[in-house]
Amino acid sequence: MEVEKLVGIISEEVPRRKTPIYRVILSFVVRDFKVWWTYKFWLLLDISGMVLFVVTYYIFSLITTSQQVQEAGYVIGGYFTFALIGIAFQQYVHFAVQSINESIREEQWNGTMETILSTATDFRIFLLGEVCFSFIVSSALLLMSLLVGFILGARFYVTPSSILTAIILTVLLIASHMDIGILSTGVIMKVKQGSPVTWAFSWLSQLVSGVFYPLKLLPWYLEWVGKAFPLTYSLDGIRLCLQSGKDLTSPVIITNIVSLVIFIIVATPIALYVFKIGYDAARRDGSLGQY
Amino acid sequence: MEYAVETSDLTKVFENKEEGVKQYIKAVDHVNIKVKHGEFFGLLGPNGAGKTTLIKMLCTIILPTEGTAKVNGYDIIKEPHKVRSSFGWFHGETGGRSLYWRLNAEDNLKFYAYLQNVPKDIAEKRIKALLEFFELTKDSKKLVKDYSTGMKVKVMLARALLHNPPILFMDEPTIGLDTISAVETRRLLKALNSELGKTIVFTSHNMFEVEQLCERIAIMKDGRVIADAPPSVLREMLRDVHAVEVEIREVDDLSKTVEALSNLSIVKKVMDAKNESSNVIVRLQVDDEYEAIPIVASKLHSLGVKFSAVRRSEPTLEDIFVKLTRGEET
Repeated sequence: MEVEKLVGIISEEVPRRKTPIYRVILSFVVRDFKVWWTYKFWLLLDISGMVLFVVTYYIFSLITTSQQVQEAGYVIGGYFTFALIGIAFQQYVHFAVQSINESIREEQWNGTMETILSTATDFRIFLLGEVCFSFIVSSALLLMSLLVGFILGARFYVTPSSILTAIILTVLLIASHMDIGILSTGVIMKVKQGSPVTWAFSWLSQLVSGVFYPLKLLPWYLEWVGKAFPLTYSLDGIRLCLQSGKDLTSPVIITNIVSLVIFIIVATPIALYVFKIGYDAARRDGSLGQY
Repeated sequence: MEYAVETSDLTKVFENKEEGVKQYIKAVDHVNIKVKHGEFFGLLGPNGAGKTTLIKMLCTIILPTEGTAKVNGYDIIKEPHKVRSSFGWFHGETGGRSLYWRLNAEDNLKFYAYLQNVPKDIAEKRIKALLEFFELTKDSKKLVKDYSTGMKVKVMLARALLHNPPILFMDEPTIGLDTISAVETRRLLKALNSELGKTIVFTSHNMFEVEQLCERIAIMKDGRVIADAPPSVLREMLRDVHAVEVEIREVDDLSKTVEALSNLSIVKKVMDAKNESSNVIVRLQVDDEYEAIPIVASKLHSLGVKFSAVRRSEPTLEDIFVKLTRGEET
């Protein structure tokens, strides 16, 4: 088309008429639906997440009592303290894992991703930097939730050695879940959609890591599945510290710590490797800055 | 000889899926360019020619499909970390999006200074100077979201210069800038090149600034480099093109005048017609400029058009660019 012709078409006068409000709103709805529809995983994750959430609460309502909690070795505080620690720490790690994904998404959204990754800073430092603030915030929220729980009647076994041991277990909990976050970010880099890794990991760990009920109450096969998740060892250890006063002298605690360390040693190189694969795939596609 | 930028059959093929069918798009096709240390090198091409993809490969953001390149002597595939310390990158295509809009200019620059390993005291000094140069000092505490596009561009330019790299990839650095800021930016880049010896790889759609700044120009089309030479040599490519330029002061109907001129038997085609201050400049491609000048003048006179000059016209970089990228017969 000739330039003059195009200019003629563009500059052609059209009657000025205001688009009705409902039409404008509808165009927003249609736009958002179309964007949402392109992310097929969102649809799957939204529906599955809702169903699984209901199933989880149904299962836990069937099988847990305070007596069962005490029988599982968690001495003081009863079921409320047990569930409070479970939910608070599970949310903590969920937030931690999500925060890596969300930070990356934010960078892509801001258009800053390519600029950052073209700087002299190593991508591992970049990842660490991305999550630090989220950890600080989520740590503060964790302490606040424990405090609110305490006000509402939760009871903790507080001695210097039990607190110190709980802190060590929390650090290992963070380190192990960082690996999951990094791994899932690698997947996101490539597929540009909600990570199935985070989704599957969050739901499964909630179900089989003893967040809402002692692991021993689960059928033997689910108990075994639970042993593959670092949250299982962290929660058990932290509860034994805060509900039974156990510390580093306890063989159960040492077992939990060793399990977490092994998980970290195995998972860290795998997570970084998967991230590198996703990162290189995005560089190959030229989609590093796209979400 | 070690070059500042050296590509060797650098190729990028993107894979695209449309309605389930895989398509391959060759964005950069076996590009071989060599940019000397301290050279001001222009990269021209129409939209989609592959300039930005080429620069992103040099910046290690996109991996090549084939071939390789060296930036400051470092291989972009094997030594990406060393490459990244060697350049400053301005990518105008983002239109100011690549900043943190919820931070002010100073904080944006500080953040990147840390990422680029610039010591705190030096960073502070440079940030102050850059903000002053780009006339952002009084707005430096304002959030970037409240900046105009031109101001954001200035922050992005400052960011690319912050760590004083030996090589600058300037992908449309004057885009979105007002005339004065664009002039100042060009002066700055020229000074960085001539006084500090920085190698500059420069892209722009503004032919005037490319001609003004670049010692050598590569023209890209469909991912390939179709010309690579100094502007004077490129201009030689159009030595067979004869043109006259008409400077019109007053005209009732420009399109009618242009049509009448184009119907003259000596006129091969109208190259362009554009406003320049209060005049209209019409450029005509002719068989023989000396023969054409009186004929064109006489025609204008008969049409009652007030004109101040009809003269021989030299081919511009824009003419060369159009010829090469459109493959036009001249």
